This record gives sequence, structure tokens and C-alpha cells, in this order.
Amino acid sequence: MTLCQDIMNKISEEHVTPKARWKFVVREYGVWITSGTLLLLSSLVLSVVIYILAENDWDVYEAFADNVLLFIFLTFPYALLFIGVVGFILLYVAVRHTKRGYKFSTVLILALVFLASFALGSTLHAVGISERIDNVMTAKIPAYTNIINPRVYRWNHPEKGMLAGQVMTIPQTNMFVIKDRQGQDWVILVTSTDVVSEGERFRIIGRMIEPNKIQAHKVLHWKESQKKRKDNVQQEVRPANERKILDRRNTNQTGPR
Amino acid sequence: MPRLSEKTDNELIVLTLADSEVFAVIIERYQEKLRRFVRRISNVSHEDAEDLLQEIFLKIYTNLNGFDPKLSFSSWAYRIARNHTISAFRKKKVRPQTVSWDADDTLLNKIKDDSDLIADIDKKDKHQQLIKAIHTLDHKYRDILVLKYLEEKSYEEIGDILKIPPGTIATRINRAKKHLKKKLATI
Repeated sequence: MTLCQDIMNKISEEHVTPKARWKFVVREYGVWITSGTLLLLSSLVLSVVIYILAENDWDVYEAFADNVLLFIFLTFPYALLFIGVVGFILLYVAVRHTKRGYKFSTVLILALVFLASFALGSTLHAVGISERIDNVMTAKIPAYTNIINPRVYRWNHPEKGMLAGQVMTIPQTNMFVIKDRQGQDWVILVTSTDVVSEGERFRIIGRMIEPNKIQAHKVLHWKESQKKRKDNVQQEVRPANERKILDRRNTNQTGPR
Repeated sequence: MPRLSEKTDNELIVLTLADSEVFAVIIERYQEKLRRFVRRISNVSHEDAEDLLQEIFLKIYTNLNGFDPKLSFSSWAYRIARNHTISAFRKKKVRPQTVSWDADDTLLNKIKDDSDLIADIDKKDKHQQLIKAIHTLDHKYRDILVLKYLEEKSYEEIGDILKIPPGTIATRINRAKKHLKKKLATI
């Protein structure tokens, strides 16, 4: 019996049939959906990296490091970058497993994957998704502030005069009260409370003079973008002479020394 | 089936999906090519090659609906044959033991024309040594040499069979030749 007869007999006797087309279609769509999902996840991770870097404490880097390079080294979100790289690799593997993925070189696929993630990540950052993710993660996952974005942790050292919190009240023109992340209230002494407003978050650099009382040297907005928005609004509504004073204050953003 | 034998591969696939008997034409058309290919990349005995071929054709048959018509059927069939042969060896955890591959001059002459292996081979003047050396190569090097010099596949076909980008084929062939040269020097 020839090979051909053997095979045809087997097909006939064992009722061998071709697998249904839909199984192959589902597999191909599955690979593309996986690729799309991984692209979205990588882009979200990248958007948070962009957000963290954009909102890093560039304005007071000297409080954390001797120079900018050391500051970048100390504050770079490595863990998030690692997650992003894992996402890129998985995305690369998924694209490779598409029907024609093997036709493209590794360098080309990686470049396309990175560009697509970067473009989508930048867009997600621009529309504020990255900020929302960061806020939710900071609020819900304690490990996030320790490992992924330790900025909150950096600003939780009142003993060193570094504190961040939300302004609860402004009882006097030279002091205000903030609530830190642990829910503890702090009295902050300043020369003027013009730059602060209730409900907003601020960074304080100063010196703890009593338990739960800090003499502030600098009062800075928690977010650079928030500061810019506030500045723009104030500049639009205030008369020129007041705006000059405000500009000077915002440039320095300093309290009493 | 005189008329069927004149049909293209893609036409035969469409007909096979409607009537399994047509698959016999595909088997007849490819069995010699695939048998030779399987033996060249695996160095198995004739009997083992027949078993492997049977499994390969059944795999081709069951996966007919997954065939991409934009690809050549030949490349697709070679790809299945190669993958199945490699996985069969992995499952059995055995490597080819004996050199039973038909020693033909084709590979020798082709490689001679294409590389500086000629000097080494002429000195030794033993085809068996070349074949032995090829079979000690890693699959990825052995298969590409077989496809390029024995099966005479184009770069595009080799890329489709091995699922590698066309741009890396020339590099891999060169590496395969370098490895082969080293092996020849040690034999």
C-alpha cells in the first residue's frame, strides 16, 4: 500500500476532517486583540511614566540631590519602566505571532511598538488619564507610593521639614492648616497665604518648630500644571499692578525665611 | 484524476475542502519533495520518514482551513513538515544516530560554488564528512542550508518556511556556513 493510500484510508476510516475555519479566525483575532490590549497597557504605563517625570520636583530638585542628574537617578520611576519594558516585550511577542509578524525584523517591530506606545501614551497623558491613574493608584494601593511613585513618600518627612498635604483652612493671613496623607493636621506658618487656597494640595519645605507645626520656607503647588492653571486665571482677572506682585511671588514662591 | 493534476495548489485546496478525495492529488504532488526534505533535515530511516510523512500530510489536511492563500502552499507545507519533524524529535528526545542520508553531490557542488569551503572539502574529499558535519549542526543552520542549496528555495520562500524575516536569511546562511566549516575542521 502506498503512502497516499495509507493517508486517504486513515482520513476515511478515522473520519478525519479539517479543523473549522472559525478556529483559525478566532486564533488570529485573539492574537490581534492581545496585541491591542498589550499596546493599551504599555501606553498607559508609559503615560504614567511621562506624568511622573513631568510632575517631578524639578523646581526644588536641590532639596533632594546635589545636581539634576543625581536627582533624575534618584527619582526615576524604574519599577514602572520595568513593567513597561515587560509590556513591550510581550507586545513584541504578540505581534510576532500574528500571521505576517515574522516578516518584519526585530528592530522594526520594537521601534514600531515603542513609537505606537509613546504616541498613545503621550495622548493619554495629554488628556489626563495618566493623572487619574496616578491618583487612584496612590489612594488605593499603598505599595504604589513606595515602589512606583515615591513622590508622596518623599514629601512625608515633617521631621526633615518636607511635607505635603491638602489645605483645610486658612484661619489667619500668616498661617494655614493642611492635612497630610495620614490624616494628620499640620499648622503651617508663612508670611502670606496669598498663594494658597483651600482644598488644594501643596508642598511645604521648612522646619518643624513644634509637634504638628512647621515654619515654612517654601510653599509650592503639588502639581506644576495646577500652578500654571492658577497663575493664568489670576493673571487674567487681576489688575496689572496686582499681577506684577503676584508674578513676583509665584516666581519665588517663597514664604518667610 | 487527469484534470485535477493540472490544477494549482490553491485550487486543489478549495476542492479538497469540498471533497476529501482530492487531497490525494496534493499528496502525490508533494510526497517526494517532502520525503526528501524530511530525510535531509532529520536523517531518519526510510521507515521513520514514511511515518513522519503520514503525520505531516494528516496535519496539512486538518489545518487546510488555516492556510493563508497569500502564502505559497509549498512554503506552508514545508513549514509544517519542518515543525513536525523537529517536534517529533523533541518528543522522542532523540537525535539522528546514523548517517543514512543519501549522499548526493548536489549539496557539495552547490556549497562549493558558493563558498570557500571548497578548499577544505577538496582536501578531505569525503562527501560523508560533509553530510556528517551538516547533521551535527543546529537545526536552524542545517535547515537553512538544506533549503537554500538542496531545495533551492528563494529567500522569500525560506523566510516563509522558517518564519524569519527575509533580511536575516543571508546572515543566517553565512553563519551556517561558518559553523559548517568549523565542524568540517574538527571531523
